[in-house]
Amino acid sequence: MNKVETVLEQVWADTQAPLDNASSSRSFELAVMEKIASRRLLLDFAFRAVLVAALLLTAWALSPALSGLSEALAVSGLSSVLTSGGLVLAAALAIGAGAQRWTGLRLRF
Amino acid sequence: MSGPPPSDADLVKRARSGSDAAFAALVRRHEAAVRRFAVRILADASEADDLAQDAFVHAWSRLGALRDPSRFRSWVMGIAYSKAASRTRSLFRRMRRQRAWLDTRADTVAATGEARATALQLLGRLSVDQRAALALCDGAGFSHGEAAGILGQPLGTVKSNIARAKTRLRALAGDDDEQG
Repeated sequence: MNKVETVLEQVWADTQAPLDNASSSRSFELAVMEKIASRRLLLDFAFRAVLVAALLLTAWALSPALSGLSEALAVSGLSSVLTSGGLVLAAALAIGAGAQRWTGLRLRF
Repeated sequence: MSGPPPSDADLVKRARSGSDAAFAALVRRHEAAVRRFAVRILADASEADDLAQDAFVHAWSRLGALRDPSRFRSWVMGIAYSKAASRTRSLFRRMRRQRAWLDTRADTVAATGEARATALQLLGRLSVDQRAALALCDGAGFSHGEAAGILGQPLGTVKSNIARAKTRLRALAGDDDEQG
């Protein structure tokens, strides 16, 4: 056996089992899941912020059309507000769901 | 009576639906292989666990991009390789500073055969691509084709990286045998 093979066998043997100072399997798993929980929290916060922004933008963009729709449906006052609000919310949720699917994130609301 | 353990594909499917328990089971099942691979491609045990953890976290966030769920382990190892390649670029300057010391150690290995203490350091003298190819094919028993898939490289590149790695190690270890 030449020295290259000896060196490689030594490396593979030394790194076959978790190293002495490495954490155990259980603590490794916990560390991964903790990092995932932190990442989810951060993404969750960012996602909600984007959703609120989308809601506001949608309301702003749709406001002329919603006024026209309210007139066409002959609703006014509180009914108009509720109709407009419902449509804006539905549009924002659709945008949010699309973004969620696009990013592949699975967040809980 | 409990049934057979769920396959990787089953666990990936459940994890995609939001099951943390399923993803934790995937981590439990594959952590040893990924950590081992991380140590070998970084040639640095102190940072290997951090790299392996990052690879799993990245895998979680991109689980929807995994085309063949039964190849979860290979996929995570590919992620670990990509992350190691990025880290190695930032560590390059530090490694260059250590070069003089490593040269001294390589000479010592040739003279005394004290392979155990410096084997990982010798591996550290290779490029990250060479280490990854060698770790997969020579260390973990993957075929050249499988390694090419994991590393996202052409088959010829993997083969030449292994050949170059062995040539380099032979020079570093002071091997005067003629075997290929």
